[in-house]
Amino acid sequence: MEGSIIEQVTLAAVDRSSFATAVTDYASWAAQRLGTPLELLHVINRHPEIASDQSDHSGAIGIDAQAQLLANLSNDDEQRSKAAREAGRVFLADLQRRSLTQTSTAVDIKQRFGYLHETLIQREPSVQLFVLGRRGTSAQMTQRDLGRNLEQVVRALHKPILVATDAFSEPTRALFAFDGSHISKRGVRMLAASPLLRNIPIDLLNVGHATAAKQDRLDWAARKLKKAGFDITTDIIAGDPETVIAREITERSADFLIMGAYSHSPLRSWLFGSKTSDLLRSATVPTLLLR
Amino acid sequence: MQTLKQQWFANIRSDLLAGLVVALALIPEAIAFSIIAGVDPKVGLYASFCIAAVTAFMGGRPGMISAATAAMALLMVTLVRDHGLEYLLAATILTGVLQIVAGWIRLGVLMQFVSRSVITGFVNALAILIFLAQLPELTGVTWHVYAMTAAGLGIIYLFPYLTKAIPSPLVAIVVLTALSLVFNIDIRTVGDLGELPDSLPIFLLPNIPLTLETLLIIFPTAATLALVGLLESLLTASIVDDLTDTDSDKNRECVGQGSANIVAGLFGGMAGCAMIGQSVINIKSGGRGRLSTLSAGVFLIILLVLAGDWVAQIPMAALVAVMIMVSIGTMNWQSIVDLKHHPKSSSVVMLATVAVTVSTHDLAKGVITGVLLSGLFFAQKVGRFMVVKSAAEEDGRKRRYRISGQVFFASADRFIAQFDFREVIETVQIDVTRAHFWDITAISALDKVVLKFRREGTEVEVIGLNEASATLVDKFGMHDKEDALDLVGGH
Repeated sequence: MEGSIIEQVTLAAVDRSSFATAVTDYASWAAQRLGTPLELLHVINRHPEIASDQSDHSGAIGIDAQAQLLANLSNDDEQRSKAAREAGRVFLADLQRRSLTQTSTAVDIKQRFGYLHETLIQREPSVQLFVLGRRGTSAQMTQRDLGRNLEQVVRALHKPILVATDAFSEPTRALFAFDGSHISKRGVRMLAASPLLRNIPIDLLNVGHATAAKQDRLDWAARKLKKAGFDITTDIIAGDPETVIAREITERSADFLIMGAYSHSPLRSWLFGSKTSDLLRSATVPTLLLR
Repeated sequence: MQTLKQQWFANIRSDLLAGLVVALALIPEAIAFSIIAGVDPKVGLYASFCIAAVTAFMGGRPGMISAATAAMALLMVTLVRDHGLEYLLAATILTGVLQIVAGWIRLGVLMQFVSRSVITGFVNALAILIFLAQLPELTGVTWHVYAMTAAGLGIIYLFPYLTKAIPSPLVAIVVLTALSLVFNIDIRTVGDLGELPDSLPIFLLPNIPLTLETLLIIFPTAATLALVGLLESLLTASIVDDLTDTDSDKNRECVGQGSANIVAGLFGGMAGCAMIGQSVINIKSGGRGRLSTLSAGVFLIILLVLAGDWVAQIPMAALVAVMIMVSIGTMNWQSIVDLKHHPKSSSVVMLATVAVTVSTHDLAKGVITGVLLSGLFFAQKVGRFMVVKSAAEEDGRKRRYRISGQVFFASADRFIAQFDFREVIETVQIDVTRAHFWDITAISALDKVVLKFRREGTEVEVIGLNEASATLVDKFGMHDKEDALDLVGGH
């Protein structure tokens, strides 16, 4: 991307939730269009902060208690790690086979121990596009729409992130929630230069009261993208962003959303809620988050 | 590093259960350690509550248990005997201050000089001292006490085969207390030893004159307490690190221990530190997070306030049994087997640490002895890595000495002895390119060699001294790290 010698890949973070296949499908589609290798990454969290259930409450310590306890705990960890590794390998290999039927680029699979956000941050320099599911296994249990991990992960990363929905359909029309901000302008340049959405019509939409300045910015974006060969429409529609964007997506039968993400501080979004999180929650289509 | 949430609330159920198991074992220990120090049981019990509660929040190692300990209690005996409780409380506060300073100036790195053998010696000495401290309860008593201690140990080690759901030390204490009450056996109980807590601890400044004289009385004790407390705490932290396969913040632990001791001193408790045995029990019982440490302290004080009258009825024999268990569990038994095949120098360091500690009842002296000895052994070993080769050149007009290896205080004499000063020769060339001169002793040894040759009328030529003396630079800061490594190993 910046002419570095590190090979840039499309990195799809999958876990064993129902999103895994859709994430793989969108990642395969994106890798094919971007012409990058695809890597399917499964992060195994060993949860060292949680004790296993077979704890001994006898409170008695005998000869070489410490050495024995270390041996027992290491054995437990070893067995759990091996089991997780094997289950993860089988699951990843299935996804790899699925992906290879959809894309002609190389598909690599990898498992790592650790926390998701730490692993993704480590990998960031060699990644062109992240593909994540809207929820992981942890969120399925808590019935929350937006995975607990997602905001934390998105905030930590500075590369574009494609957030997949639960079923794949090839994008045919994209809606760009363009607010004229620094991030969305950078996004316009990025899209114009990238093969990701080439030949897919893009509707630029600014939610808010129409002003000349907004129209100017919108025109600038349209010019940029048209020059790159995109089919563009522009609109300024007043109203609440969440509702307007959700409505327009349905009315225009758009199946792909583009927006800048988390330009405000974590404190502000904690106090007032985050527009990005709201939009992600209400969106029913895959969303490309620009950072 | 884990998040705050993971450190506190990831393991709630197991943490609370483990905290309860630990609290039940802490009570007899805190009472026993108070007796060692020569103060009322409530001093150790209040200390255990305060230290556990404060380290839960301020410590650097989640899941580690800190409270009143044997290692610390042994160091207070003289101060308490000569000057009384108030001076102990003041010394406890000063200990905390010193430990916080140690944390701020990152003294945790000093742990790297404490070798594995010294640590093993420390642990073994601690186990022996805990055991020896029980002997007064076992000498000059009726057969009832022996029978009850044996029965207590039997219950502690056999009951887990029945169920591991209930702490066996608790079962032993309950059964023995019941026996002594039912049969009305006349033996010493906890209540005979002094006051037990009947309320939460109260904030009180130690009642001492704030003079230089006071400081001179408490400072030596406080400094030793600070050292031993940090040593045992950092040692325990690395044990818990290994057991749980996670990292801890050692400097934060120093500050946490210090804060805990200050609070303990202000609330009428004695100084304490992390406990190896209790931390192992905690991890074994499923404790991982900070909540386990906090709940251990809170359960301890709740149990005491609610059941204080019953605690007073516990026969000392039951306590002795629990403490013998702690002693057995703390000892590194494998190290006795290892004595046979470990290097002699390591074994000597371990045994010296144990011997000095047990004879002085001061773990600080033991550790310092061990560290010094391992330093000497190391210097002696590395000093052997020096070779001098010589050959006559230019038809016997010149002799060339080639030095390679480490020249420093431990090898300087041997370095000088390698030269033949009485040889009748025109020129001597000393090539030190492949040697490392580590200190001033090495340089003055070389000066001496040059001087001695000159006196015999021999011309001396030294080559490569710049390379050889590069290691004299105390800080490698002027080179980057890889360069510094080349300097030492680049042959």
